[in-house]
Amino acid sequence: MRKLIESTFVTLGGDVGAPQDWGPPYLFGPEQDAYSRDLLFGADALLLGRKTYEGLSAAYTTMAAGEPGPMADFINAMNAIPKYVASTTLTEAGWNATLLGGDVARQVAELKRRPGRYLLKYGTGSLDRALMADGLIDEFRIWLVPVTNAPAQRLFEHVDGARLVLTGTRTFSSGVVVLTYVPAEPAGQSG
Amino acid sequence: MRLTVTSHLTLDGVMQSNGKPEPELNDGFEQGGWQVPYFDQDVDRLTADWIAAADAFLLGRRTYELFANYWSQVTDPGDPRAIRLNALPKYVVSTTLDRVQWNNSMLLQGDLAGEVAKLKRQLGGELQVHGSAELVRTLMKHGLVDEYRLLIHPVVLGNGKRLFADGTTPAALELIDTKITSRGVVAQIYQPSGKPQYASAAAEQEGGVVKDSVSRHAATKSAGQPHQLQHRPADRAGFAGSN
Repeated sequence: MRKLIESTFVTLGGDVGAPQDWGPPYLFGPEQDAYSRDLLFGADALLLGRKTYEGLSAAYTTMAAGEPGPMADFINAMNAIPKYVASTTLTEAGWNATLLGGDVARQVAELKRRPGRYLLKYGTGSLDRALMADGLIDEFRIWLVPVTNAPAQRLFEHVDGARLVLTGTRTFSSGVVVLTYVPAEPAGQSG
Repeated sequence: MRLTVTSHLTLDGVMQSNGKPEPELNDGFEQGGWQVPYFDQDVDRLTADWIAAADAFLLGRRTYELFANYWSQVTDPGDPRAIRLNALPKYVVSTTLDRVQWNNSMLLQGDLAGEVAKLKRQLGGELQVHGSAELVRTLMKHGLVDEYRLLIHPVVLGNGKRLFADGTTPAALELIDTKITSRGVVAQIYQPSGKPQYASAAAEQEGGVVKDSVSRHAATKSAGQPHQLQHRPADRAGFAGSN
């Protein structure tokens, strides 16, 4: 049984929609890079929504073609890792991705039953509603960024409610605190 | 005076009716009292210590009414919160009340920002805002807040009034301290640190590595993901966060 871990950036005001604007001063640095590496390198595969898939695949394909920098290992891993992409509109995918159509929650539950380490989901959005309703997300890493910007897109805006248990915090010197939560109700009961 | 803001929040930023259901408000919010399962000795001590440091309170109308109804009934001389809340000056911001009756409370009328700025200049000590989200946003707009004490609870409600609602003045904060309670409440202390820096400014600061920042920002945009492709200079000094 593999876990599903979701990693997301959010402001104190609850915005997850525009990290490209408010994120850079806080999210880039040696500590954060090391943390990101650990998270990615421990995963067997990525689970992505369609929008996330489109953005990341374009960006990482471009970056891989550039000159190698200090995060080259991370870029290579991002390009190489198997991906599962939830979409109701795409008919084919590249970037080592497999499309999940139809009943995504059921397919994610099936992926979790396979042996391995964990699945990593970047970003949060409408896909979370179905995943959380079925208790399929085992852990959240919420990167709380110390700006008050109000939401273009709100954290958990598609979710009715959830009780969580705080299992860890990690503070970076930029003032970002990564809050680790697990659901108060055990996950994976739907399978 | 130093103006501090204390707010009890859910992970999705809701601050409404933390302590109990308030059906009398007729605001359609049905999840009041969400804080109660997490109110343990740690939260009790933290909030009591904060209130013990107060020299006066600044309250919005709703919070004033809630506090006045509750605390004026608490006459236990051994309750340090009640003593201070009942005895110390309370400045109340309201567009509807024409008088306030709780001991040592007074209405602030006219130019709110000007009046608060005057209080801060003229008096010493700590002026505390509790709850009062709308008031907090007005104070933020005028740069009058000196410290935020946010208690972030491990629960998502999905609806309710937020502290930093739409229209909040974007502000960058410096993390001063973090404390964790036994039931997973994260108490974060922040102080204002100017306006947020945005991507273009950050790229300029990084000088020689601007070249990479376009693609990095594209990656960040796509998912809010931790894809740092280069390092930046050491973070600001004086960080006092605990871990």
